[in-house]
Amino acid sequence: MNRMKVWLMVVLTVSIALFTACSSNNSGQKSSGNDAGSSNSEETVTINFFDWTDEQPYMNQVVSAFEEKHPNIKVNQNYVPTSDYIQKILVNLSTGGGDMDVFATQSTSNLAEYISKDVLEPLDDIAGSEALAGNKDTIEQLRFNDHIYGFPYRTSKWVLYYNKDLFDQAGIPYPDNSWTWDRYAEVAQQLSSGSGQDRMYGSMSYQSNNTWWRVLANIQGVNNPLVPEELETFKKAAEYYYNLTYTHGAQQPFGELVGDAGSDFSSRFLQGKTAMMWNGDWAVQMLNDEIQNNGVELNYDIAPLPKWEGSETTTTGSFAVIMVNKQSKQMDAAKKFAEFVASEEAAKIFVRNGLLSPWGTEEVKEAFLDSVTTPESVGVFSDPYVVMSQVPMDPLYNQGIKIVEEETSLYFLQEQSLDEAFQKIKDRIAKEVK
Amino acid sequence: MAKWKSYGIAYLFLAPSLIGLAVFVLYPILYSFYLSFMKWDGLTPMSFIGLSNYKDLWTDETFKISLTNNLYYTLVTVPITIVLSILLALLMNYKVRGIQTFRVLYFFPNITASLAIGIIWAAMFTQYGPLNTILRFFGYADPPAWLASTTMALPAIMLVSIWKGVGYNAVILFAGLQGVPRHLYEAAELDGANRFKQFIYVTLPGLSPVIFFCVVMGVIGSFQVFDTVMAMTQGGPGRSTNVLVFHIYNTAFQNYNFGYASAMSYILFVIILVITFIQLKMQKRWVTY
Amino acid sequence: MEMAAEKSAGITGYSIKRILRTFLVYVLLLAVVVLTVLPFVWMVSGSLKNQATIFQNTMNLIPSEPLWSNYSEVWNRVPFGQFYWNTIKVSVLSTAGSLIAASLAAYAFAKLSFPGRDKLFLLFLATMMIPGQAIMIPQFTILNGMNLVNTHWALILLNLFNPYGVFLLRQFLIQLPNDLNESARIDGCSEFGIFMRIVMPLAKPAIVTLGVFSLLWSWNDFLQPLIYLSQERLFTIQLGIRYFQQLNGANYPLIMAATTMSLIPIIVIYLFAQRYFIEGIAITGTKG
Repeated sequence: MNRMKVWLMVVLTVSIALFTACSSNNSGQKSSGNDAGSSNSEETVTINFFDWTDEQPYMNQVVSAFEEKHPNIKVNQNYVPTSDYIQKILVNLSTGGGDMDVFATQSTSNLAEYISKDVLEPLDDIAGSEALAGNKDTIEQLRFNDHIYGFPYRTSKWVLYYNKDLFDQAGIPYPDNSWTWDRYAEVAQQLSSGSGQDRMYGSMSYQSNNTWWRVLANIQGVNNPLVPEELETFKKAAEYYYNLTYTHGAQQPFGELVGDAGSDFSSRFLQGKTAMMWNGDWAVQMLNDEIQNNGVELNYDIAPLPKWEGSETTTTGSFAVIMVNKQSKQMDAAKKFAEFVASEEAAKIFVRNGLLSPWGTEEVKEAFLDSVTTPESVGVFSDPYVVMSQVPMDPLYNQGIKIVEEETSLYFLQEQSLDEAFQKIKDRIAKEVK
Repeated sequence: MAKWKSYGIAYLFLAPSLIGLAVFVLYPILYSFYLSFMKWDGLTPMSFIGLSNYKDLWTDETFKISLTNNLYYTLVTVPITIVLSILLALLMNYKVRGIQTFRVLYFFPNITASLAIGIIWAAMFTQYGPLNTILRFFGYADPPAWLASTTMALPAIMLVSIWKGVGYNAVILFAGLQGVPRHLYEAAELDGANRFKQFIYVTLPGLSPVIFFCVVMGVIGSFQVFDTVMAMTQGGPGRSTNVLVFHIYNTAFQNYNFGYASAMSYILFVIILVITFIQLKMQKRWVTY
Repeated sequence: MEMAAEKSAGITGYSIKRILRTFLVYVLLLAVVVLTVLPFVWMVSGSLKNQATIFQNTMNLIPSEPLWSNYSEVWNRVPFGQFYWNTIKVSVLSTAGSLIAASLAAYAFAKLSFPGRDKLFLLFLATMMIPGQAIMIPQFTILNGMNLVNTHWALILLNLFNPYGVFLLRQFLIQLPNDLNESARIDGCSEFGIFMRIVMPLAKPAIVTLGVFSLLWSWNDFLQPLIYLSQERLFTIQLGIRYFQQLNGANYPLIMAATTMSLIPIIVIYLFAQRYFIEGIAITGTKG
């Protein structure tokens, strides 16, 4: 009897030991277990799709539409907190295929980085498919090393948002396409008043390590800090943004906006404490949602971005891109899904949610204008201003921009001068980016 | 024969732990060393690059900043935590009614996740958050910008660590106080030593092994700080709160540089080893058993 | 016992000085309580406010209209139930694994003799000095080679070797008298039999202490889940609260509500098992 127990314990101990030692041989077993999918074409195939959290509301709809169309493919949706997204994608790419089949990114620089790591499946064969034919020109823009590795499925455009009531109260005419950035600063200053926590601001500022100020350079066709000549334009944009805060007193000081508080621009705008902000098309949805569903009262509209003295009105934007993991074990289904996300059918779903699509067909445009009725001038999004690319297709861009963010944030927090900041950016990029 | 059998049984008892030790500690230490000579992004095949990673470290400004920040963090948090913990342990040693409830409360910050604590404190440190509101209430019109300042952000994180660590260390030290023999106090009292002298000549020496334990573990812990930084500052503003583990994490899992991150890990490993070794050597001078 | 001492002191010495001193001690004790508890109180209070009011009169700790809907919103936005379940699963299995491994090893170190025992024990102790983060990259590579990244097993296996637990239990077991073991051995009981039937029941307090610590450690761990778990359905609570630290639209009341929810189970466990925590901590420090 005792002997039995001894043996049981031995078996238990050894099995714990064996488990640690042997699981290395079970390659592939885990993924098939997870996916519940098999190669049998009669049965349902499951693919894993990764996206960042902000996309969940409308991607849900896209996935439903896809599953309806392809009843034998099930899309397992994974939404990851934005701040941890890049790392999660890396982990999934390194585990060999079963964990992630299709994934999205919000920046073409990430696309370039993944291409340089050779982890993406070329999509040339479906790039020319009938379903994507109507959007061929945009897809071609993402050609890299003679191949197409990702499809653009959403685009963005920056516009000027303003609180109409605050303009009316001050008796200032609404912004229009004649505005320059000098005018913007002037009006922003006029609309600022009060002090301390209750101060009203004419212009919205954001976290000190933000992307917003770069828009002022992006609209001039400048987007890559790794190009030394472009740094000058970035420098001027940073100076303008700094002056809005400290010379004009028209923006909340960056010191008050560190951390999570700083990123919450929508509630600061909704509280009626800020008169203007430049922001992307996504803000329409965020604001409308609060107004329609949570009873917030706000009377706002949009206008084209101001222009720099002596240049035309332009805007900037980037593409969200869908890609397929080279190691996917459900390649056909994965490609089908990627194709669908980039298709006109999905485009209509995106625009019905108030987002912009790279599809330029009349049908898509109409669907957008039909479903987005607030703000009044929503047509600005369809105006034919030139859209400058916000992010270059450069695999090293992310490293460079991190340096820019670190150094300019110290400038915005008044911890170093403009010249110091840009000298350091230049030096550090030369030394660290490789 | 019977002897061998009994050895075998002993090793069977040890097997799960030994395997864990070998697979997840000893082998990784060697493997980490190996990786530190490689260029590897975690995805494509690795290539041997000799001492390049270590050479790069020598000129890597961010690494130097994170190392300096970490040393600063250690030198401030460990002593302050220990001193405050001793004071709190002495306070807990008063046998007043309900003291156990107090002890339970003091220990509380230690059981909560560092990430959650970082999140709460980050909110508390904002310009119009509770901390500055209290400072303004006490007439401090221009309170610090805390997490928005390169000089105050790291101290803010230190403050949180101290706040979290004091209760824990105080409980250990309190237990240590119970072990100081009563008759030593009585003898000191007979010699006319006042309370302060009793503390210096009886309590501290009696407590020194426990203090030593707290210092050693505190130093090791201080080199592992990560969650609070992640929750509160993400290394900013600029690079002012970048610490070693945070830099290693970013290098490996954000910048795809596993080889270089391994070299950094190795430096971290050696630093801790050396500091611990020095502490073990030094303990003869002040620790009395 | 303390109560008794306090009572007798109250009867004998009733001097003003003593009362004053007790008063001062209470003031100090309470001051430390305020410092300790205030952040948590503020967190709960903030979780019931809205974005506009959380930093207006921020020290008004009792919101006039508590916004309980923040909690349901957190629950609606992310699968918190799933995160709870995952955390429970990982914590319980990690704890079970590390308890089994540690108690077996501790028994060998405390009660069995074999060549190299003391050196091996020293090696175990030495590994307590190694920060896990210094070897996280090779650990990741190894577990990836075993196909265990993106499974909860990665976290459970990483906790299998627990030198701290071995140390704690060994210190406890070594104090137990050997008489029972010897007589059981003479009666023909095997080592495993002795371990299971005699030693383990006696070691229960130490095991419970170690158990609550491991549980707590796994529950609160952020870095390992961050590295090993990339799929939403596997996420633990620590990863879950990251959803609310977003780039666009981070909202403090929701962050505070999510954080409060992540802490509630731990608070409950702590209140029930606080005795073990405090005793366990005391043992580590004083028996080193």
